[in-house]
Amino acid sequence: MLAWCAIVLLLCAECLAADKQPTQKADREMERALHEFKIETAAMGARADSPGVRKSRAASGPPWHGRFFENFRNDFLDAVPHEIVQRGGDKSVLRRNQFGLNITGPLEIPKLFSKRSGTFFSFSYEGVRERISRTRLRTVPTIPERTGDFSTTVDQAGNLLPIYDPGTTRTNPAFDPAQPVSAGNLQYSRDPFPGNRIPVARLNPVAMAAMELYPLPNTSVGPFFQNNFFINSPETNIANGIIAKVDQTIDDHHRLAAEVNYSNGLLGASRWFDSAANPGPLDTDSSTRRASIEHTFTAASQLVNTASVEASSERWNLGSEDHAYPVYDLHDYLNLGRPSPFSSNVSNQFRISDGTSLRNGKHSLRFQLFYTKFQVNTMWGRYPAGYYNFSAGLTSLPGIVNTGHGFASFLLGLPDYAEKTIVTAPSYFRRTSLNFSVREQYELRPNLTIAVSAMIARRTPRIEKFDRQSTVDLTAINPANGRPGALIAADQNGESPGFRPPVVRLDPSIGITWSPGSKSRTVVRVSYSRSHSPIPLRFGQWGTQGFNGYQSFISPNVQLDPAVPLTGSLPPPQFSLPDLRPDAGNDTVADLMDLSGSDPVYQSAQLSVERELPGAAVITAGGRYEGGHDLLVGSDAANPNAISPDALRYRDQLNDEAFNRSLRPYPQYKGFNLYGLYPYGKYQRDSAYLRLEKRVSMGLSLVAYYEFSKQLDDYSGPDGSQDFFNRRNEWALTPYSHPQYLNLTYVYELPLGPNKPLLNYWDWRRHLVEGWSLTGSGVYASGLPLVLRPAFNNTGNVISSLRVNVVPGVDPSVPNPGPELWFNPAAFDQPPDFTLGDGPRTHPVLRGPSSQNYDMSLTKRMPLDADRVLEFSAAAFNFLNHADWETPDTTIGPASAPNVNAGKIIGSHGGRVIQLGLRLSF
Amino acid sequence: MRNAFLWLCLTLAAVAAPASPAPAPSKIVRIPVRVNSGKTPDANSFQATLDQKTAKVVGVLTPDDPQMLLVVLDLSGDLAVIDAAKAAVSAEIAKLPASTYVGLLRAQDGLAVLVDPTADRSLVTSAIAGLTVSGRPGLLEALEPVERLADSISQKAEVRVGVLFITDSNVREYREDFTNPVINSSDPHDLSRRFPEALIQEKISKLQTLFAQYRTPFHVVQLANHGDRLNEAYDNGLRQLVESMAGTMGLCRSQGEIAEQIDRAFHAVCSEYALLVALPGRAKDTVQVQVSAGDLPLMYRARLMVKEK
Repeated sequence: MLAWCAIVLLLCAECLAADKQPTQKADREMERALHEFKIETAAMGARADSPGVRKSRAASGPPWHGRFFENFRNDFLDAVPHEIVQRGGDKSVLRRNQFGLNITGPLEIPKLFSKRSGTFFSFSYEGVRERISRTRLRTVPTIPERTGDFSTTVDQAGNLLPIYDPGTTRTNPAFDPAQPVSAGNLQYSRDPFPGNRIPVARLNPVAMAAMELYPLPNTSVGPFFQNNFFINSPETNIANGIIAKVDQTIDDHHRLAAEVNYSNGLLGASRWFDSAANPGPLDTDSSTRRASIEHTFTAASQLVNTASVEASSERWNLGSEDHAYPVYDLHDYLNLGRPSPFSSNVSNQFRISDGTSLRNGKHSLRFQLFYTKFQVNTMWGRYPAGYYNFSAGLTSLPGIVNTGHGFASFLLGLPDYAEKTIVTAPSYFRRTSLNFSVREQYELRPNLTIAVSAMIARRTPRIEKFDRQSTVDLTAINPANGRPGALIAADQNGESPGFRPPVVRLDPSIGITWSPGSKSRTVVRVSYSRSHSPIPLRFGQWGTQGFNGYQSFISPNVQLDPAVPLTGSLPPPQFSLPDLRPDAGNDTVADLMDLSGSDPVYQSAQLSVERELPGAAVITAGGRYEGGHDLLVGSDAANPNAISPDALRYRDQLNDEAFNRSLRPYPQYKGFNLYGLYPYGKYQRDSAYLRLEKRVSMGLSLVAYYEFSKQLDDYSGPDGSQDFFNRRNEWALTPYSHPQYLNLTYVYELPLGPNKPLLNYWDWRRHLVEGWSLTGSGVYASGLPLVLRPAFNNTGNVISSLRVNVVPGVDPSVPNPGPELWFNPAAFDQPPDFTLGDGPRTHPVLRGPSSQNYDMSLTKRMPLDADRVLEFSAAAFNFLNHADWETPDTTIGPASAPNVNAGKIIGSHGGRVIQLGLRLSF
Repeated sequence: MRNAFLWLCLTLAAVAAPASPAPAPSKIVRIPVRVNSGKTPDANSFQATLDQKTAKVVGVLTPDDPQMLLVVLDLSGDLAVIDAAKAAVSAEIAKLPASTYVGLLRAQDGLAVLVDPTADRSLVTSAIAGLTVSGRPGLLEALEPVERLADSISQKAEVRVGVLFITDSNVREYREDFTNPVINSSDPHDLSRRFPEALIQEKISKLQTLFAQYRTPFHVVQLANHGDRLNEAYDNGLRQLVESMAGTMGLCRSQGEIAEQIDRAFHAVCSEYALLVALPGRAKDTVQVQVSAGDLPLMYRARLMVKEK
């Protein structure tokens, strides 16, 4: 009986155990796992109740990360640039060392900060020591020309260029005023210099003294005697900078971040020639400083506030008073002296901002308020030693183009315009901006979100701290002639300190993101935005006329009389400064501010469709529209004092300054200096693009981007507008916009070494084969639209930028364009005297040569231990040593003297540069 | 007699009861495996070779077995994105089988445990809902300790361990500098920043070397699509790292994709198998692994470090 009972009990126990076994085992295993979780996370310091020191990290070394690095470049590694080889050179000096360090980690200062305090720092230093060649190709006078001998000087067609003696100028009694001036109907006649040589006795002593400082030709690129001075001079750069950051997590709700940037730079500019008259760039002593503090307050999981204070300063000191040499503007030849030979400038910016992000249901709101104060302190005299312009007019046969020479006018000491700037004190410009923005993102459906934002900005105009600011008011009456247009000064006679009231702008934007379908392989994005851009504060003392002096000396007739004799100095000003008379700006190129209150407006709209493809690839196709109006332009593109082209009917009479001025809307002014701050320009850019992203697989990732665009505007380019009264006719392709652009970037971790398909070594050889990667980029940009210009502009100073005429029926393109002939110059012509050119501002079809660049970097990483890696890199920029052609010569001469170089390309530029780098990371 | 009978019963019951499992023998190596198709393999169909020698599969933990799932949140950016992610993660957690224990960790300002692994879903979801957004991205710092933690748990207990990182990290926001910002604006000929991805590539490479010793696959869902070259390199680096550990990476290109990507990641992490394979007598420090289950495509680490850490 008992045995039976035992057997039954045994069977029951067996059954019970069989049922409970998996559950109990699983529970036990989970208990064990949980126990291990707690032990490990405690050891890591990851639990609220765990010791603060992270034992595991402490055991493996200090928890600081960082790097030391050195990047090295030297000309022995590089290809000699093509432009230097083509000039017969074999060296381009380059010595460059760039070195530095970065350290990041928890801040630990005994008795102040422990590792547990949650304070982290980051410190970076970088230094640069560099000496590098800079090259230029310019034209200087030939040796005979320097002594007045123009017997071998030729025009663009290779014909002798006649130089006329201004001392023999006389009226032509046979002149028929009913007929245009021509070689057969001269209004004034002159005798050419015998043998086309200026007698030595006639040479101006100041000009001859300047010749002592002017270099001789050193090459002969041509054509004829042009492009005969090749500059290959090194510049030096010394820079030292730091970035220091501290990040403090106070608790779960508060975080503070502070950052300080500091950098000093010293640039020893290349010397175009080694004399006081050097027109090249200036030595620059610069520094930047920036400090910011940011506080983030996380009030709740749905509410975050960020407040910050930031101050930054940039200082740029250029040149020195030793560089103050008069500027002799010789047009076709390299100038002597340079504008703004010294200046001292500081730009400061102070910003306070506060932003709040709030999430409520399907709404995400972001409010932001920021106040910015801008300051510019500047002392900048444009022509402290004087400016002299020498054109061909005074040594020409009056009224006949392709006669006379600017350098001959210089040798005779006959400038047709001169100017001098007298700066009495620095200017202290100020401006403020108060912005408030709100952004709402709403989730219409899980796969459809819409974001709407608006920003209201209040911006004050520029003021000067001591009200030493002025402009021409085009509505004020000038007492000198009773016409509108007079000088006004800030905060005087009822004027406000900034001349125009503060503006309030509203900038809206909207964006929609939609992922159609359930699998969400496709994302559609649509957006539109409109924004106003503030008028910036710039270095320079524009708008201080009257407080500072702008002496102007204007020729009564640029073909007959000089503005002032070249004596080495200009006459002193007639009035002492400050001179705030309403007519104090008369007979000058006066500073003119726009007082209408307009500022630039930009808008853009975009549509893109993104599609995920098999193989971890994403393709995006999109289109973009961008446009703007009231864009800031300079005097080349806007001229409120322009003469209507209808006045060209007065022909040679326009060379008379008094008559010419009488036709201008504001005849008391020679012109206006707008300083690139006149809100007048307009542009539009339409583009379509395709982007293919191949996310990493087998170590390779790449992004290819292609864009086709068309950009038009009515203001940009090297020359400016032809007709200020017909802006529609200025609407043309933007000269600096590439119609086609292709970019490819790639990163390839080479499949070598352990766990890789090739050379899968696990022994000592792994150190040789693993850790290699290749990174590269390639850029192709199609050529820029060509800007064609006539060789001569005989429009009596009415048209500042004359265009060419188009020859009907002649194809401007050539088959197989190359450096010998890029386009057909016979398709264009010099417009007749006193007529506008009928060609476009930029050619709609002709493009310059395309450009290409391919960079590649090969990197080898060598782990030294778990925390330290030594990385060697060799980067080759333009590694194919590809040369891009220069832009073809687009100057079109008249049929009588065609430019033999028109349509041709002189040389190419570019060369491979190699940089070796070593970085120790820890 | 009665006492003798009781002693007999107790002895028999003790013998009949399952023996408490001993810790995994040191010569057993765990190989996490994921089936790369919708099919479910038979647990007995798994075969393994180590260094091209057939190795005995002594046990298989299937998706039906208990799992400890470690969810690491690295959220420091846009509230709208974070909210969508929180909702999606909470929804996925609610769908998990009861045998799955979920632990919640946070990567900001150093790894921190928010909730110890638990079967109580409400505890986890309320912690997720109450999580505040502060601090800087911490994913790169959190990867290694979480891997160490997961491996350690796997070695000590016979449960599946899954690791899932949910991040919206922007590489530019890390405390450690990967951006290589311009320090000297007056330096006009600097070419060293032409390849901006160099520093993040180096960091990823360092992590990859470090991760050779770990076995637990991890999965990452990147919520934010920052779209610039440096962040693309960062996302690609993460993908590379994840794939080298036989995990998955989901990249959300819009807010609408967040729920779907998180769903995929949970599915991937929950459907992992773990093979317990006996090591050959004299195994090297690292062994080449091959696993098969009929014709099914499998994801697993091709080489494992088996030396005791």
